[in-house]
Amino acid sequence: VQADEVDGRLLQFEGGLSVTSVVLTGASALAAKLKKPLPLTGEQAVKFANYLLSRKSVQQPKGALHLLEGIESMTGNAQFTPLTVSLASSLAVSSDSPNVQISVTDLKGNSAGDLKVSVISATHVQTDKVVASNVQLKKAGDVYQLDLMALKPAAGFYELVVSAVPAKANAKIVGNKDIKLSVKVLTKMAVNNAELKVIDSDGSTEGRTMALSYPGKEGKALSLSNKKKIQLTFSVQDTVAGSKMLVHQAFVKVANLKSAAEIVYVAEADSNKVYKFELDLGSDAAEFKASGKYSLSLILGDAVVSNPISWLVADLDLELGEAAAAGEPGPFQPKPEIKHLFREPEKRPPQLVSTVFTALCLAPFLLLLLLWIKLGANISNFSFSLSTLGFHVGLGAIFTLYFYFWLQLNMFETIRYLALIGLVTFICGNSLLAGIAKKNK
Amino acid sequence: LIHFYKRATMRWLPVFLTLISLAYCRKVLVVLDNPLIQETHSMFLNQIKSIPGASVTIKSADDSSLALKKYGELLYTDIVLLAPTAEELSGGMTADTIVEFVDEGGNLFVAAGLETGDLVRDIASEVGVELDETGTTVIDHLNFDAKDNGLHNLVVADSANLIKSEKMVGKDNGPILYRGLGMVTDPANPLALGILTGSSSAYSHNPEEYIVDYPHAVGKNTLLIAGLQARNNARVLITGSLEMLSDAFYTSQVERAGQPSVAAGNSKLIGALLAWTFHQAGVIRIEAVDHHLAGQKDTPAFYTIREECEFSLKMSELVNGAWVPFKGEDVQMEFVRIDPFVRQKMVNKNGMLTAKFTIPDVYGVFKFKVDYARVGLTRVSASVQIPVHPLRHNQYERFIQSAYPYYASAGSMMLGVFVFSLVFLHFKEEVPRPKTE
Repeated sequence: VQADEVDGRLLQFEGGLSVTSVVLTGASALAAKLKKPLPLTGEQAVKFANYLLSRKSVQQPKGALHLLEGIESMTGNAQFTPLTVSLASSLAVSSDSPNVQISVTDLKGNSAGDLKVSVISATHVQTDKVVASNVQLKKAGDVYQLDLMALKPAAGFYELVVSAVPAKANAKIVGNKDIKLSVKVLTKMAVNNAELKVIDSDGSTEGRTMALSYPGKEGKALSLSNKKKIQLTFSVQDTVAGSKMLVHQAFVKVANLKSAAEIVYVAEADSNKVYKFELDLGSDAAEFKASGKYSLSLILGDAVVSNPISWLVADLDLELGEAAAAGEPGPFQPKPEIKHLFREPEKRPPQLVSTVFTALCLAPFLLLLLLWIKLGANISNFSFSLSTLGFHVGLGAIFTLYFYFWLQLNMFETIRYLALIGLVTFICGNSLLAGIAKKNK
Repeated sequence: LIHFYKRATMRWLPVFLTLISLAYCRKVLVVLDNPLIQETHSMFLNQIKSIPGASVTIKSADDSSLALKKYGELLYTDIVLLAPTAEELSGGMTADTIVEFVDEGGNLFVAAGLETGDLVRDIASEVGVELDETGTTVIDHLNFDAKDNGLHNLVVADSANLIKSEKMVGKDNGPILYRGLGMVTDPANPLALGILTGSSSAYSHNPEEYIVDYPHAVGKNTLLIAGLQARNNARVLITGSLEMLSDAFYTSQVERAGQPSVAAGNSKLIGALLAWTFHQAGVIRIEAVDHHLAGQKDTPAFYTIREECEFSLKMSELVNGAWVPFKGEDVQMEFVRIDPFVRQKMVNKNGMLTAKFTIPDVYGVFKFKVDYARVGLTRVSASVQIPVHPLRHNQYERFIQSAYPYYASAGSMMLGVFVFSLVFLHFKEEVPRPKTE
């Protein structure tokens, strides 16, 4: 197996924790037995130790065993004893917790004997200013302590270079020189001279100016139309150093109270470190989709500030030009329902009209009967002979067939029936007429 | 005959396709850029391995045996890319081939990190997600964890910032720990999903430089986890933090200033998102499309206008590996002839969805169309084509009151002829008495 270096910091054997641990444990046991040193340099021991410590979050019991065994092989009577020099206190140092505490232990967390721990240099990262050099730390309990705030450091990130030298020279101890640690000095900030101005877009009339003080809110809601501009100016003060400071995050958030939609603007600082923010409702109205109640908040934050601020400055009531576009459903919403509008049937004339005309149509028949009676029509010559009966019944049957054709029959059935009845009627009719003609001769 | 063929395929085609599809057999490829990830992210890898029916292959980014296709066939159904720093992968896998993989239906889970190479950036921008530059990170001065290393970039995202879709993220999620890049999607992109956003005070910027221009992402537009469901239902999930998948984050507590410490919800959320990405959750299908006249059972060859019609289909959802009836209440059905004439909600009875309506009085060739797309669910559609005839000559209304005069006139004419024939043929004229007197 071969040891691979990862990131220049860790050394592990191919195969991970189990293989690394087994090799280290076995090799150190073998060296102890043979009383011969391993071909291992202090640097490499440190890197192995780094790898073992990086596997602290191992999940399996088997892995935990390997981790502990590997660490065991690097403590106690091992060839090298890597030390861990780490920050025992929190990363952030402020006037509330001014001490930087450094713990120097062996891999198992036990004391590594009598050590002289000193900060070789403490450099402010941003300005490269060295605030301390070669300061020895005092032992306080299990850790070594330095009161960093006593040096009156400016806020920011600091890089400490720490060395832990054993009181008695010990060649076994490695990983104890030039350890770089990062700390952060915090400060508290305050918002000063905050002013909110409402002026007309064209600057014609002098607008209102409202002074604000954190954490108070401007009492009345500001009612603004799209002809107005809002200006917010403020400065941020470093309460420890007493001067104005710039913060990484200086945002102004305008949020719609109903729909929770928000728009965030960046407030910019001028050369005097005074932040200014301007919102022209005339030109920027397009970003606000709807009129209504909004809230104006100021969000300030920085990595070196211990009290980030989210300050609700004022309520706004915006009256913008047109209403928002009608809510068209998005592609994932149900679409509006469509019900088909059926064509209305045409209007028909009132029933009275058809009744009157039906009567009118029936009138001639009645008139026929009346006039016949008047004229003295009769059917006295009717004789009950086959042909007579046949003819009249057949004729009646034909008309009945027409009626049924109108009601329900189709042409084919009708033609069939008509053929039969028609034939009978024709023969009877012929014979009847012949009879009448003979009678009249 | 053509109608029957169409009806049969419409009914059984979706079932055939799902059987053939890889709903039960998933071949996952995990690509790592750092062999240590197998150990530092062992819980995440176990989550992938515990997907039912999954066979997981873990390969390194520079492994020469890395390949997506063999003889033109895809070797894997899903890819998990845990290689943020990789500039390229071996085996011919580039951003283009990976996007082609998604085009062919494969699912993708990508993790970026504080240092991200061009490969992951290109893949992200192909799916509509813009990652911020290397050197930037998501910062939130008001919502950071106590274990932060000073830059306030170990941010905590509340479960309130999750997308509102239980099928994607599950329910009752705890706060999420995150340290990585911020992402934005174009709001005009209808397919991109912002799954986890930062809080209102979050932003993505280089922590060592002052903000001059507008940051890449601000407030709720800062996406921590973004996703996309392509039109072929392939799913892509991108997270800007490889660390949020690590064992260390899974097992840690969330400690915020002024709030009690709670267990981080990373494990539960990523478990739900993995199930969603690999088509174990939020997958629905349509079976058994059917239509007939109200009250009858057979499917007719055509409809006539103004008939009462009933359209039904069966929808199921994949839950824990089994297809159960789908419970959605907002499935809509459209009756379309180029434009929809009828659109209404379907009634859901235990997975059987039905819609009853009257065929419009417009004739032509129509389609019953169902196209259901909701956030977190696969998009399903079904359509059946059916002609609609106008009224036949003998289907119109008869015996209308306004026509009574015509009926009367015809009837009286027939009656008149009958009576007249009787009178005419058998009339006996009175013989006039000769004037003999």
